[in-house]
Amino acid sequence: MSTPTSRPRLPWVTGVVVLVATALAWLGSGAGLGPARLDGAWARARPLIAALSSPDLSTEALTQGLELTIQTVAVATWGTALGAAAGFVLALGASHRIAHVPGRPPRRWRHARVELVRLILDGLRAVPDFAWALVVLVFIGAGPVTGALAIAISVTGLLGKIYSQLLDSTPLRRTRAVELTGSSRLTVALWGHVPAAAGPMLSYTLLRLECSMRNASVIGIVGGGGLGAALFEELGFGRYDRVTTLLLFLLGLTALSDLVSKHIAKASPTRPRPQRFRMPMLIGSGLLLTALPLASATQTAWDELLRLDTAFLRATAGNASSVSLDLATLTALARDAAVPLSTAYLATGIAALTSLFGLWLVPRHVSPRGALPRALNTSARVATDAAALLARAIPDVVWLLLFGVALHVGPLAAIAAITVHSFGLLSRLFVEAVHTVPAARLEPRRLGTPRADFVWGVAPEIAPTLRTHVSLQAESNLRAGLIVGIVGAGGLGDAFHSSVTYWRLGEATLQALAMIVLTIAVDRLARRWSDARSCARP
Amino acid sequence: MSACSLDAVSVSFAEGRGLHDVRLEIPRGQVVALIGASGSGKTTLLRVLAGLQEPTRGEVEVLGDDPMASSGAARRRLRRDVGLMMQRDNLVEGLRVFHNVIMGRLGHWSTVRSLLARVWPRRAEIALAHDALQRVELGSRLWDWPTQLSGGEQQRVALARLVVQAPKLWLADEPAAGLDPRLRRELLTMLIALVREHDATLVVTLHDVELLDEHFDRIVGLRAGQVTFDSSPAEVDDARLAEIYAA
Repeated sequence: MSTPTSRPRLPWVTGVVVLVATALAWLGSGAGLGPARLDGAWARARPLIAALSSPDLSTEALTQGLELTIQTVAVATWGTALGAAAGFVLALGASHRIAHVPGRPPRRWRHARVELVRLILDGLRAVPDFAWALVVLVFIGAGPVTGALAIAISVTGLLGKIYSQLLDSTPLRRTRAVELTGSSRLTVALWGHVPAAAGPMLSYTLLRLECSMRNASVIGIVGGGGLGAALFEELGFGRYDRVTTLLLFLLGLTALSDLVSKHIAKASPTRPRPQRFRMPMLIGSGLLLTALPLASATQTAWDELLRLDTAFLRATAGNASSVSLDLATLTALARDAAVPLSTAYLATGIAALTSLFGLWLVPRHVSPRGALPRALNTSARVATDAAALLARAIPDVVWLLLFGVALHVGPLAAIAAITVHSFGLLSRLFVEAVHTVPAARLEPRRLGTPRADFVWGVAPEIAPTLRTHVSLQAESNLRAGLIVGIVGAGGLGDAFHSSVTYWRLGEATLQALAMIVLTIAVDRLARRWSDARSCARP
Repeated sequence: MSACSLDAVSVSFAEGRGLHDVRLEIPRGQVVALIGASGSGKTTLLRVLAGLQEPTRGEVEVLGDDPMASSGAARRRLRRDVGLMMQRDNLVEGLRVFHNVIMGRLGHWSTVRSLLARVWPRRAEIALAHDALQRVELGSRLWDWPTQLSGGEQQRVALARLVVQAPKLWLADEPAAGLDPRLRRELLTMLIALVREHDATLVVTLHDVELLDEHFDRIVGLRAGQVTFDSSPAEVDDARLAEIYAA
């Protein structure tokens, strides 16, 4: 029990867990974090840094960039569309509201069916698209179709869960009219629940499309086509001027999808309803247009599928359950799982502290008096914002490859990459949080200097918001930790990559299960922590 | 033959309101008004007939079936033959007026046909919905959204849905509540005319006694969950009304 003089309880448990996990990961993976990594790092990085100011602007490079950008858009669009369609079908099965007849006692087998579909969605969601790409790769080889299918599998899980939650939250009174016509459960769902939830469902799908654009631009690194494949290749060949050109296209694509998504989000509350049946036509023509860049790749993927050695697959399929669960296996699994976990928490911590330091160093809540201090403050704000924009516009996997040039792809480069990308994201969210504090609330706490005001006035106001952002970012970084692992940074992702490449199905299954358990556990723990905090601070 | 009957039906709620030992038989083709003050049990009685409320005691029969006992296909068949119009929330906001009207046919269609009608309706279906809307003087609003309609218009769309559904038993729970007096009268006249035209049975709950007229075959008065009188409109005088509305 706390006494008035004792210190308030800190979230020390989380800190200890992170420290222990980090130590385990470093010790277990032979670190790869030592100073040896830094030997010659500058010499390796110099040509890349020099090339950043001189992109290859030849017609060949530009044509390649454009073609790959179009291919990336096609991968993202088809991946999202297929995932949304499959997610929609599964969501109908994962909704208790649809499964049970209102006013009647719920049937046990229907309840069990809903829970089973939810479990499938959790599994699809928890394994990152990069991991799915490795699996699809085995069947149809490398190419944009692999990327689209991998994204589709992941999106199925993500959107399926959101759709089912939206369908479950439909008020009963909104669907009663359909119930009363004597319709089947499925008809009630399609005529009642779906129209009632259609608005938010569309918004989430568009948001997911924007995320898919980012993912599609890097999934090529593991054989999913698009800009990522070329970027990986050119970096390997050391053609850094081409790398810069491709980075410019990548930045253009992410900036454009960001803008389009913002425009749609702004327009959606008062969105004029589309004319009669215009929506299916719009979606149909969009898909048809984006199908063109994928046409020949689909043929290749199909040929690859036909060439598949099914006898071998059948013979080895039994291996999936033939892994021994001895202590050594489990220890190795725990050690592998600790790497993405510690990477995620370390990177999130450093990024959060850097962003917070940025707020303290360049105050946002006041404008300094005097022309010169004001000019300095404005330029510092612009510079910080530009750095954050660049940091978040380049995906963490690309940061990993860029840092990998100097530090070699490994845990250190992974931590650096995720830290930089998270800094970009958190920095913007932190600045937005400061802007939401009404000036009048800070008036009684004015202490004189802007930085003291920040520490005693602004920081306590925005602390709960920041904590939520950091917690969500840590969750998202766990997924990033798994992905950079697949690309070669070590840990569970790396182990899964090796298992799939060498077709050790038993180990691969176990590692995929570990990914699912890890993601779900972190998700639940974070939610519990944030619930506990919100109860403590109503 | 009776359209519906209640034999010693009681419904108990924790808060006390409900039905107590209600006996009622309504022959096919009759137009019946249930009247009573708020909380007298009108809506509960209607919900029992619609199969939305299970009685605590007693027997209910609707079109020859027990609305609560039947399950699956049988319940859907019964719902197809019993149309219910509520005080509000009759329309699905995410669907156009057309879909809200043609929805009346869902009980008659297979799931595949329902899906097709939702995405790409046939000309005949569009014509059917349009005709029904013309009956309620809203022919020009086929492709509007429910949010673009006034309260009275929304109720008329719900009426058009019942026209399309063509049930044998029409149930309406204070369909004109919240409308101005002229519109209330208009809507009720429209409802009764359509029921007569379809040779169906109507049970309508009313709060407003001003609307009682010779168009009804029977008036049933309820007070505190019990039937206090069951007579023709001519026999309903001020004394009878005082019986159910007196404090």
